[in-house]
Amino acid sequence: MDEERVKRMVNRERNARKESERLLEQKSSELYEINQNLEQLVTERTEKLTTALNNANIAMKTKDDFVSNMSHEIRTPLNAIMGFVEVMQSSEYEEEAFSNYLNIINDSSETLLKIINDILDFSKLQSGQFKISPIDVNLRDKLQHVYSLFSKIATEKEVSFLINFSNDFPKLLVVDDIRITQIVSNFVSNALKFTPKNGTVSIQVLYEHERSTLILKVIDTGIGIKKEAQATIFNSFEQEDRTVTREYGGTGLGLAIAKQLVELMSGEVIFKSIPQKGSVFGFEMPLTVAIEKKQLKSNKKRNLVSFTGTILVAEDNEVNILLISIVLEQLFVSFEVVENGLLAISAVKNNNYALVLMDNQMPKMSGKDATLEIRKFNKKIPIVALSANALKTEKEEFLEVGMNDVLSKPINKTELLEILEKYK
Amino acid sequence: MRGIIFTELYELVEEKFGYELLDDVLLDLELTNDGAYTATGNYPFSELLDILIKLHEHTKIPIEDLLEVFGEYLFTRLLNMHPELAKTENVLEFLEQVETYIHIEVKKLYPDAELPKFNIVSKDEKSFKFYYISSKKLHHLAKGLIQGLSNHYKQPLEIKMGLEDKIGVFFEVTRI
Ligand code: HEM
Repeated sequence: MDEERVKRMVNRERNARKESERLLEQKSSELYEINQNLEQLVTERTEKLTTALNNANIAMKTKDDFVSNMSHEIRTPLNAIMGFVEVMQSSEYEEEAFSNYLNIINDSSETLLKIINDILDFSKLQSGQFKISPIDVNLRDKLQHVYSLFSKIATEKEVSFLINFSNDFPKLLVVDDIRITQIVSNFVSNALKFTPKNGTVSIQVLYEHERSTLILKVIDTGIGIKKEAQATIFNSFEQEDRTVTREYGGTGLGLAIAKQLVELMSGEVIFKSIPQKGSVFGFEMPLTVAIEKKQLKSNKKRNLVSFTGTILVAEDNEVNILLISIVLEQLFVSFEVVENGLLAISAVKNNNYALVLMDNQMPKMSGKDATLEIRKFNKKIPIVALSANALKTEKEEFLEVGMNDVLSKPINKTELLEILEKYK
Repeated sequence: MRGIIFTELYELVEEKFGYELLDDVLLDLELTNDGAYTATGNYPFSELLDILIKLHEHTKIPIEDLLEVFGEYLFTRLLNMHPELAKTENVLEFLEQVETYIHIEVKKLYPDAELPKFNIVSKDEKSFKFYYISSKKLHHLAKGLIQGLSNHYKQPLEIKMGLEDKIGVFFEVTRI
């Protein structure tokens, strides 16, 4: 073999080896780089995970806060109810205080009911169990009704309160009016809550025929919502901050529910707020106009009784009076109310009643004593006892003093009807 | 083209024709690093063609035949490089897996590798039909590789290779 050839071959081998080493070195640096990148990636991921974990913790904290806030919210009215019931059971209360206590209990029960309804609605919405049932409905009437319900609060707060409909607002729309009412009530009650004296709250209702869209806005000149809080105002469990919770109460679920309801009905929430200037809460929602059907007025069977004449109700408990009034009004029966036994006697003396509904436990004179007195000068007038505890012995006592019948409280419409039929 | 193709070709040439011939071939050419290839490098495909043409000039053996012989030899060398990629000893299945698995893994190992594509036409226990598709037009190398596969697992195959058409080159591989 000639020397040149050997040299070339050896050289070629050496070069190949060097090339090989170079490639190896290159691969090492590549690996090193990849490693560096990996480390950076791990750091980044760790950071991201930490943030995610923090967020999760914050979310958990929000929920915890919600639960503690909620139990506070529930406990407050419950304490009031229980406390006042206890006071009423144990002490000898005065007439005026009594009805005041009842008012407090009533308000507290309503608050409690509202909270519980909110929680139920919210959990139903969360689990997707909420059903929307659209019907042909006169939305203007329904919204007018919401308006009139809130008018009283507005007047008390000295806030001017308006409602406006667009000129060509359709008579009938296909919509779940209960849910719309719920949403609007939420917006309106918030607006009234956060609008100070001399402010304005207005409900603007517009139907865009070209887009078949309902646009409803509740505009207030209230305290507005801070910039930082605007992004999360519709989140569940969140109110603007804890001070708002303390000052204005509420579950913090209202807006979350409203938003979810709007979205469930394919709508979109409208929200704008300028701190210290006011807020706009509302929604846009596609809704179709219902075709008016000419319907024959069906003669719905009213629970009208053939009872004629006026009833005297002797009862001092406001809630009971309210209950009886509602039932009697529904039956189109006229009545008068007195608040104690003495007044009942003179009322019967001076008027010609067809029937007396007599509570027993009344201030000044009990129902039984009053009946004894009445029977001295009027043997004929039917007197029916209103009994809180329908014990048999008590019933006999009532009949003994000259009463004709006993109705147990709370007043039940069917039982009352039977009595009215009997003594008509 | 991966360096291993070059270094294996060198070995085959040295083995079959002697190192003098290889030296003569390389002497006539202008190659990267004077033809000092390493298996782990990546080099221009054109240089492989240059070498093959020179080889043909020196030996008078048609390039097609050179590629087929090279393929036959190369198969076992490739397999030895990555024995973990062989998941079956059934040669027809193996052939299918070159497309569906082996070359895919090869691409992961060497992102700069340029691999052919097999369009599988049909397969059963006895035969495997596919189109070889590649801009490199190394179907003769493919034929050799399949022969190498057959030799390696001692399962005789009839390898019919069609002419190049619009799609590529049709292969019908049948057990015998
Ligand atoms: C019968 C089985 C096989 C056939 C028919 C085949 C076919 C081919 C062909 C024809 C090429 C040249 C490139 C082209 O034509 O575009 C090629 C390249 C290649 N194949 Fe395969 N192959 C087979 C098995 C294998 C196996 C078992 C391995 C590895 C474990 C492998 C790894 C490679 C590599 C590394 C290249 C080079 C790619 C490049 O240079 O960029 N092949 N193969």
